[in-house]
Amino acid sequence: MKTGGLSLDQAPPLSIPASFFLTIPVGIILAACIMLAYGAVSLSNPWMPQTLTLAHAGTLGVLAMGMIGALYQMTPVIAGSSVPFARIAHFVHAMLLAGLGGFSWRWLGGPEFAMTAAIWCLSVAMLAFLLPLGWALLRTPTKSETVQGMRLAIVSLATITLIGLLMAQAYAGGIFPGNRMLWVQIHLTVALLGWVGGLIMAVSWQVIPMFYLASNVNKSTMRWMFGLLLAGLILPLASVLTAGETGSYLSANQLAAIAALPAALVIWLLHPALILRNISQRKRKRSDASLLFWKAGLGTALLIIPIAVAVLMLPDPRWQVLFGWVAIWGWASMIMHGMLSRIVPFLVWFHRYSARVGFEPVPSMRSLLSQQRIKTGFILHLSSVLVGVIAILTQVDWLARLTGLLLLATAISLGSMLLHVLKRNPA
Amino acid sequence: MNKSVSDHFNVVENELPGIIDLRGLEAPEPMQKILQACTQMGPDDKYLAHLPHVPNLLFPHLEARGLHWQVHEKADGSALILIRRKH
Repeated sequence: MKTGGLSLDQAPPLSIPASFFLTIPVGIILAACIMLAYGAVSLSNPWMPQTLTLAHAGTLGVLAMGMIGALYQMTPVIAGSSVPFARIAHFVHAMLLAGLGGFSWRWLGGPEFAMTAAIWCLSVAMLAFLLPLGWALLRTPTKSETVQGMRLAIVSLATITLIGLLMAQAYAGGIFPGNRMLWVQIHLTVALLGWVGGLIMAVSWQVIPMFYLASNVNKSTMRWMFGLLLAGLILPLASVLTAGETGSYLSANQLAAIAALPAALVIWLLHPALILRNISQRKRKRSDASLLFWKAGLGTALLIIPIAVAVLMLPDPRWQVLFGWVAIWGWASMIMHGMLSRIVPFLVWFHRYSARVGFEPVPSMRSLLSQQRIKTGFILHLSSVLVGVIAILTQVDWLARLTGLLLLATAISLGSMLLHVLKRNPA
Repeated sequence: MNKSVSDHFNVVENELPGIIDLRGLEAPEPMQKILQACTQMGPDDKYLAHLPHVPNLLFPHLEARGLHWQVHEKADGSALILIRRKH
């Protein structure tokens, strides 16, 4: 029996998640500018500096920005544990933005110093984020599967940060002392499946029933999904031990990719199939535009394993670009965009209106953001995904630039939606 | 069910009010319903609700309104909450 809880002081101020969320459109605009400036070149090969910038605009500028902002808010709410020194979140936010700026500057022709500065900024940002958040998640009495998933996500974030920043030394005049392709594969696997996939899965277990009245996922199902995910994150590391010794048909990085199969099956097959089923069987089928994002994102997830197989089997680098595009923008960012359209009105309602309930009339959360505005964002986001897929497969220059324009429109739509809701205040 | 509920909260069974089932409401509607019902509660009133999950975000508001609460989390993740005014 619980009789205590958070105090109002422990709940993080709205300005913390809001500052992260408001800069997500900046990451999208950066990606849009690269596509508009470089056209099909930016979508031709994953090792092109423009493509590296594009990928990190998505992972650091969009996904990490949203997920870190959300974790500051979710940890006290879901885990019931306040994050110590939460105010340094503003510093984390600034360092994350500076790190993304340094990466982009270097890859788009800037000096080695830009990469060195980016490495420092991101190291400091991640330490200042991971230590307090890890402490809060470690000492929470809550033992739920969602909390386990949040823990796995931040351990994965720490791992990919370490690997990523060591590899980034190569762009700052240093040398990466290892099998670069193998470590890129592990960086990619842990980033997409552990950090992004782990958090999406864990959060969906909480928010899909909470916001959409879908059934709870069975606890034993959650446990074995979590176990498989963990196995698929640890097994690829075993391929590090066999690197250079395989002498087989497969290279070490291909072995690492195959070893991640249990995790890939959980995140890109079982989880989307399960949640799509629960959404379709929900108790009260109230129309909600934010669900369009979930359906599209989870539907897209089902395409990722077939594309990954194509990456392994076919030498054409376009498949690797397509894999990144579909995973980052079609699956993870799509779900995040939908979550923002549901969570930001919720946070605004909670922080600005809930204290007045019972004393005066307050607006409903749904009235803070129109469904039409959410649908517009969805149509733009989905269009950019689809046109981007065609641009990657055909390498037609104007289609790549059109994708850039659609990204720009999506960023403007998302930014205006966030500002519209965040400006709402009681009269 | 009421017997087991009274056990959870160490309250005599006939002192418990009927359970308001708020599990069919999307967030933040359960919080809104509870705050509306409890803000003007008298010193001897009690409010008992069944929620879809432990409402961590509700607790600061109950605290600010001088209300005492007890929560029992059930195996399915839903939660029972008993609210009364602090004496």
